[in-house]
Amino acid sequence: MARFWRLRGAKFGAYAFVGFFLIGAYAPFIASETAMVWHDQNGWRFPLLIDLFNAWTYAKPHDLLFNLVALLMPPLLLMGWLLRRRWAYGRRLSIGVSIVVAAWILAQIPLPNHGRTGEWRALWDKRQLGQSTFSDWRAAEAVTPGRVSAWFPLIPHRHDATYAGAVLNAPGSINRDTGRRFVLGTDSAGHDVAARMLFGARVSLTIGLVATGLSLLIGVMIGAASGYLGGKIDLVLQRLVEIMMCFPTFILILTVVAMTSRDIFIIMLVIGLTGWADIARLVRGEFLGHAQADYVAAAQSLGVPRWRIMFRHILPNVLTPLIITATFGIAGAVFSESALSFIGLGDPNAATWGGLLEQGRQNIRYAWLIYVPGLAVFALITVLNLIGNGLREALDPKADF
Amino acid sequence: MSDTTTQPLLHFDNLQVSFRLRDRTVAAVKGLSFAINPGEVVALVGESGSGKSVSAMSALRLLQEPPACYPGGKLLWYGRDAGGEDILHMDARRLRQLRGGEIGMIFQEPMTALNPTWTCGAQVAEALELHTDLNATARRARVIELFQQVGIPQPANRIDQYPHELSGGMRQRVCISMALACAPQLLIADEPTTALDVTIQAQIIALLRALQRDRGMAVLFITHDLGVVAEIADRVVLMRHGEKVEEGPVAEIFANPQHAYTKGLLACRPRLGVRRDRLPTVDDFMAGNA
Repeated sequence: MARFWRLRGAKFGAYAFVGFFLIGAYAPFIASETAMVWHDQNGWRFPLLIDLFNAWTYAKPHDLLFNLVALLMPPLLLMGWLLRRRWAYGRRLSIGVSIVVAAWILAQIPLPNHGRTGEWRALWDKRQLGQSTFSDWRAAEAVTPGRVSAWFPLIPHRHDATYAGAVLNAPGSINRDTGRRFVLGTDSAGHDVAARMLFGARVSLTIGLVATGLSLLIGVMIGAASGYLGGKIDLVLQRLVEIMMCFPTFILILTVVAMTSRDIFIIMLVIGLTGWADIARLVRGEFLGHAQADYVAAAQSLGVPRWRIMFRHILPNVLTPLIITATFGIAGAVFSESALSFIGLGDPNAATWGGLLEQGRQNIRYAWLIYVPGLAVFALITVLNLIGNGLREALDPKADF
Repeated sequence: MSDTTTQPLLHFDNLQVSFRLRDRTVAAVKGLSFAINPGEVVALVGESGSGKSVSAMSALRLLQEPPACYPGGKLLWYGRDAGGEDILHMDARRLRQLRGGEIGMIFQEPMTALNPTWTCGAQVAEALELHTDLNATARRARVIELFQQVGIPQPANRIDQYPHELSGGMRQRVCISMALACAPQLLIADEPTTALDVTIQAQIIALLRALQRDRGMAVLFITHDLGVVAEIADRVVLMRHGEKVEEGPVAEIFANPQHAYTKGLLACRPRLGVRRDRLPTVDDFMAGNA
């Protein structure tokens, strides 16, 4: 992998991808109406932390997952860094996870109540937040100036809130309710585009990973069975793959989405279920070659069962081309979802980049609705392709000659 | 060592192996009969394409079926059942017990017979995992012990190394420890020294001989190297064109070959102190013009 890091594009791509991921994970800390820190006569409160696991605020499961990752990442990374000298990677990870789990269990133990609720207890009890939003703060400020101090995220707007008086506002215009600016304007429903872009990164990354993961799972199963078992199984599975390849994938996705639901998870599923044919082909070819290898015969002569030879002996030898294909697959899935949303078949309830693009298509005069999400889709796909190319170059055994 | 009163361990009874190709069927082994007795070293000797490797592979049913098929004969295994089980009619489950558990196999090419993505220790431990009840810690201890037995220095370090970090001779030792991990009654060695250089060859043969004596296991040794045969074998089976040509104790075969082919094969070896322009080939002998 040293070779990967020497490639300038690949290095840039890897850092940029981490950037996209961090933006996605920490979106609520950048764009939210809820205060991160709130101090009044009752003491200190951290409403945003409580709000992270509030299913009312974050209705989609992938949001809760990203929030969990955002919360767990700093302690886990710190743990890994502190223990870096003493223990192997796997053990560090398991220690970190078990400490977090232990903390969670401890937080479940009821503590004696000294007149006011402990903040950490409240975090898990999902108690009502009380006063914590930007408008709460402005109201308190109007009555008793200086009594309440609060620290808000950079963009004090929610990604799923519609600001009634602010439909299709240009970038930089002011929200009359709060007095803060819409940095990237608003869309036709009155959403803050900047907040929606941040949360859209979560959707795009989830789609890429889930859809590609599903394709990989199916593709590897079918390709492995086809290449290793051979015979009639191969014959039948290869016809199946050919049938899949005959369909224009995007039209197939369109049809299925039009017939079923427009939920974002259905869309992920459909993209995943239609994208496995190429992977199955690739895996079959690799397995065909490795099935004749001496180490496979040696494993057979030890009485290793067939499924174990396929997935524990041959699969690790085939991972390199799979990883490369998966990287490009993620880019393809992100693009497919954007394209679906763009033609109006995306999830209307999810904050997606494609959804913003579609509004830009309908309201062609409002350029920020095209440039902002368009550039984001372009950037993410470029970054993924840079990583894929870098991996391909770095892992190519013939690159030295 | 061959004792006619004892029961054989593995009996090749008129074994026939063919390969069904698209338009024709090729007979690779045309009725091979011989027996391997417990604790005996049998060398299966023959030129390339004589069917010796195919016979050995079929003893573990390692040939891919199809194209391979067994039109006739039996392969009787007496390792567990005194009545003998026909390996050619074993079900997959019993076959997996047989492979590795009762019959071990070493391959020709130690460079490719180990999985490059697994550590050496893990590959040996897998055999133990499949055939014994040992837990992970006990398996590790057993692998270290096995590595010691096959003469791998610093076994506790080698166990976590990958095959590419070891030399050819060391890798063949790992392969041997893999085949021997579950104390099989029969070891099939398919040209285990062909890919190694001469000094390592001698070491590996000495090792196999020592292990065979210590454990009292039978060995089916496949080779085309008559020098190796003389060193290790008790009995020799000679094959040509898929048929057995001659069979007998090793001393007798070398001293008093009966068949023209055997005589030819023995005469083909270069001799110390005898200078000849061209060594005779087997075909010369078979044609009777040498």
